[in-house]
Amino acid sequence: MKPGKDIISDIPEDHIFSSKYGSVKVYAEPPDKQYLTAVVPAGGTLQLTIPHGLPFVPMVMWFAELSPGSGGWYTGAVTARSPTDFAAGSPYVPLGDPNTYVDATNIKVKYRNDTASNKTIKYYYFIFADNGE
Amino acid sequence: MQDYGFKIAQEGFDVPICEDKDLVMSSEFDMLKTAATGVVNGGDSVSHGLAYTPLFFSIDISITGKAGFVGDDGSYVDTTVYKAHIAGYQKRYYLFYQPFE
Repeated sequence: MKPGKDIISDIPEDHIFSSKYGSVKVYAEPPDKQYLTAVVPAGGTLQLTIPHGLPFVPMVMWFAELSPGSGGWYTGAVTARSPTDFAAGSPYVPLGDPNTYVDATNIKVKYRNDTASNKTIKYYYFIFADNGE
Repeated sequence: MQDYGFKIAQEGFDVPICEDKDLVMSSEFDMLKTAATGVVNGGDSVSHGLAYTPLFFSIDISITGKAGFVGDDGSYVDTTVYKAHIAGYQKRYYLFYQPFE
């Protein structure tokens, strides 16, 4: 129970956890729980492929810092960039990109770089042992 | 008055000294409790029956066997419903007993 709450409470919000309610379960994160980096080539694309090891399509949370050193991390793979990152030409995943998805084997994210110089992004993910479909 | 509780560490980590991020659970931290989960069509609403705006995860299922990422799909919740965005896509949703506003 949470501090100040009674164990016999039937209010779910009063519990830290209860065998009565399921919860999402973190299955995997990057090695050593450290963010990873990738270089998106000038004028090109980079396909990230991460095997998840689960026998189903899992739920995945994805975070990325699109402008190196900005400290601004986006949630989701297909996100609308801030005006600052847009102006800086940070890599991005185009809306509706067919190469960005989670299936029963891999996590796939494809970044695009429209500038004339290589761009390095940072990324982090949580793979949950819970259905994503 | 002493504070009582419990902690469970992940495999390979020592409970007395590991960082909080290496715990499986701790009575010091709330855990997400699933109020409801399911799959709906884009454009549909699901009444959640909670008296607040709950934390939620929502994922696009655009093609059988493929899913999007949490937070990419444009769905939302309010104090009464979860609203699945974009007709033509199915959504996997998780609603939690966790108000966030």
